Amino acid sequence: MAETQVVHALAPAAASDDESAFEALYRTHAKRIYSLAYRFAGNAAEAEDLLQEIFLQAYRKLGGFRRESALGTWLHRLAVNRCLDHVRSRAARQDAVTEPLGPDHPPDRAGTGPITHLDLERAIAQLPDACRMAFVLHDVEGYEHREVAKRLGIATGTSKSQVHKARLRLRRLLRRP
Amino acid sequence: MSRNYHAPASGPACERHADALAALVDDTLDPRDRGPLDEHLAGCAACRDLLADLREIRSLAATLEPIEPPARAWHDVRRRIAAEDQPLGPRVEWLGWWSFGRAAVAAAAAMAAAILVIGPAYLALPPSSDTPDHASRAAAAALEAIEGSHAAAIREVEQRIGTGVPIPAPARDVLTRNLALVDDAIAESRSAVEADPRAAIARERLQAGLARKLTLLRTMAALELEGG
Ligand SMILES: [Zn+2]
Repeated sequence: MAETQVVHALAPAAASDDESAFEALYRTHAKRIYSLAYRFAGNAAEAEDLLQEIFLQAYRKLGGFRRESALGTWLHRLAVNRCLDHVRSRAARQDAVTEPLGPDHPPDRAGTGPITHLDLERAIAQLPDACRMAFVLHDVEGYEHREVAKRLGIATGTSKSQVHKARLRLRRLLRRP
Repeated sequence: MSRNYHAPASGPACERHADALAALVDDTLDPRDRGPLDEHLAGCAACRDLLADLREIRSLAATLEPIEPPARAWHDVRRRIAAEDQPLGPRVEWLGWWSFGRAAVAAAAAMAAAILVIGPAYLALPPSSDTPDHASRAAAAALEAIEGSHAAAIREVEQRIGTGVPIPAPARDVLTRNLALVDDAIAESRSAVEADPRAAIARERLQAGLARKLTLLRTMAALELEGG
């Protein structure tokens, strides 16, 4: 390698060393966090904003990260908190101007075949906030009720009843025509 | 989803077993409550359908695929980080190696600038007055002084890599790409030190290359450890 090539090889790597570590972190976790944001927010535009904000916040807070908690767990907790704040403040804004949630939309599932993942994604987006968040954390993300309760700041029994309520509601939304 | 949905499970007996049924779907039903529920289910088609449907929903939810974010999201994150990076000051203590990485970056960047200024003159090594034997011993000592401090740490991390949860392909590719770059730079500066053990720039560059290699290896080990 000629000297000039060395400089060229070294300089971009030097400028991006810190960034490449952070990019690796992003590549590892972005999909899972985006999915969480998408299912919490119920749409792609808000999910993308949330994803960006979560990683910016992570970047700012990395100094506060403690070795004893695994990085993925730390990042996921940060993501859940941010998504939760988002949904709650959105609800607060909407409550000020709109009616409370009405009855479920009529099922928009076409055909009589088996329920697909896409059907379920659409139905989840129609759930009321509180039971949607509990359902996503418990049934999709696989948290225990105890952990769901802690994340959402509710009682364990409330988590159980919210998740059950969500499943009953999904059943109605997904019923065959 | 069951055809019997329109026969709602709402008899008084169904109501009495509603909590147990919800717990059964959750796999949290106390085994002692299982008997009475089973008895009810045996005689109630509506509750059997309800149970089957709720279990189907739960199992579908557990197998939902992760959703791919748009590719532009990373570029936007990077742009926003760059825009606000200055006032942030140094971040420390990310697994210990985050700050280590930054120090290596600063050293390597300073060095790259120095090489740019010195240019090809650096390669025109001054003729050595040493005997060949003395020169090679000096080179070996110089390499030992620089590499010795990193060799053990690099070996230790290399042994840990591959024992944890495999890193997802996109992250692994970024890291492997950088690792290959760093290995090239290390090899290059190593030959420069061998050629002239007194060349401070070559020694510093080897030092920084090894430090960066350690940073990248630690990144890999940390990502494996926490398993995505
Ligand atoms: Zn019944």
